[in-house]
Amino acid sequence: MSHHDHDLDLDLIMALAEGSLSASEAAAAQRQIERCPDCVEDLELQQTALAAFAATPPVALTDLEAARLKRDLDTALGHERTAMAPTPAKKRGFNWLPVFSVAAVLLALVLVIPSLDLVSGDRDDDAGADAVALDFAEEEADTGASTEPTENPLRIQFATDDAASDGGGDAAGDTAEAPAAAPTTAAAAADEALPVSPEATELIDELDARLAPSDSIDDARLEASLFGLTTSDQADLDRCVPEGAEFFNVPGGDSYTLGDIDLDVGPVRVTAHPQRSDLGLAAHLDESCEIIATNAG
Amino acid sequence: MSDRAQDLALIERYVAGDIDAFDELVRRHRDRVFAVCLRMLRDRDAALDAMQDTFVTLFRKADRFKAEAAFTTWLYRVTMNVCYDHLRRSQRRRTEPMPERFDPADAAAEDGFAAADVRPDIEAALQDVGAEFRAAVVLVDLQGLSLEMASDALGVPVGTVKSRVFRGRRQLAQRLGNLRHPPQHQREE
Repeated sequence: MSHHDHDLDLDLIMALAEGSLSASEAAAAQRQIERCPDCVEDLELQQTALAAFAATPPVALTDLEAARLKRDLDTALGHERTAMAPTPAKKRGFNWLPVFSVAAVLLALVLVIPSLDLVSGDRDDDAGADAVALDFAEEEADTGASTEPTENPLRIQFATDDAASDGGGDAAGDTAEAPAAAPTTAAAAADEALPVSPEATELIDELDARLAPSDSIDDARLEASLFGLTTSDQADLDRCVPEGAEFFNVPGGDSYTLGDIDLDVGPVRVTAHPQRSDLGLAAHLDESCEIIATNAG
Repeated sequence: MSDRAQDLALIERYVAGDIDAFDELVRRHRDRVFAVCLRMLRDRDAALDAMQDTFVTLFRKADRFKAEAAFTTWLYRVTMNVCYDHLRRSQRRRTEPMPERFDPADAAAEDGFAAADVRPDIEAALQDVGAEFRAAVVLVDLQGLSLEMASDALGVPVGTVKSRVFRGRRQLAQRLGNLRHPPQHQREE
């Protein structure tokens, strides 16, 4: 058998190596192949490879890796899954504390403030929590009695559950800077509803200290990498997020209970969402700061 | 109900909006997807990333699945495309050419570090098999697909799959031989 024949006898060599021929066919094939040194070598190589495959143990995910897959998929598909999920008949685990807190504040305002004659009589006592918070802010502006003015350029804030559910919005500077001396505002009530763990406080402080205002996504990425954030799969994101957008997430499965963090780092916005066992950050280049990726479950 | 029928029922439920069906599909197929990714990419972290990308693609493009094909075949095709994508990106990061043909381990090779880093096992040897041949071998010899299914998964004719399997086995066996019997100058190091 010539070398040319050898190339043509690929089927025969494979069949012989795989043992898929009958005894008589195999004997005939063996005699034919033995006339071609290259064929003999190829048969041995095929048999060696097949023996190695047969001895290869199966591959399986560890429990830890399976958990990582679930977590990563939740992170990557969070908002899409939420959009697909049917609306539950009853919101599970709804925390009524903020509602009762706000109701109590309103009641106190109705009963106490008129007697102190601090506001005009045409005030709308049915105004919502945000209006209450703004009233406090206005009072501060009028009296100059602001307590602990916020000068954080990153504008870290805690928002209400509503703000979290619609992606956080651009609420920085609205309710966030309500004075600490007014703990009965809606924002403060939300703080109570979302107790911040020591770990989370450290994380916020770390973000505050290390995420400096950035002029470009590269700067933001650098800042994020300094903090230990990693860029998730870019090719996938390229398919589903607007051009110029970037996404960062925090590796590892540390558990945090946070209020919303809303950071402006130059034209890049970084938004973190609570309510999950991991912390996700979405960064955007566009000035509109539209939320493109959230972990809000 | 056969596995194929169960897959079909799950994909139909998912496309109709049942998110639980997607989770079930992931549970059913994650091991085989991971096995392919690991054998194509070797590194477990990279394989996990590729597996995630595969299921994200499934999540977003499940409606493109045509019921006349087996779901596993379609999923293998998605998986292979993701793996090729990761290999290309890895190649760009390393700024060195991917091995397109077998280069036996040799201490005289320019990349002595890489030669010293390999381990004499099949996983290591697989990485020295050209990506296209490796894909064929992984699907046919390690995942147990028929040549026809591998043909569908790889998007090439059956004859091409057969040729790639043949050559992939040959490269792998040669590599295994080299790893088990390194050249004399390599053993002396």
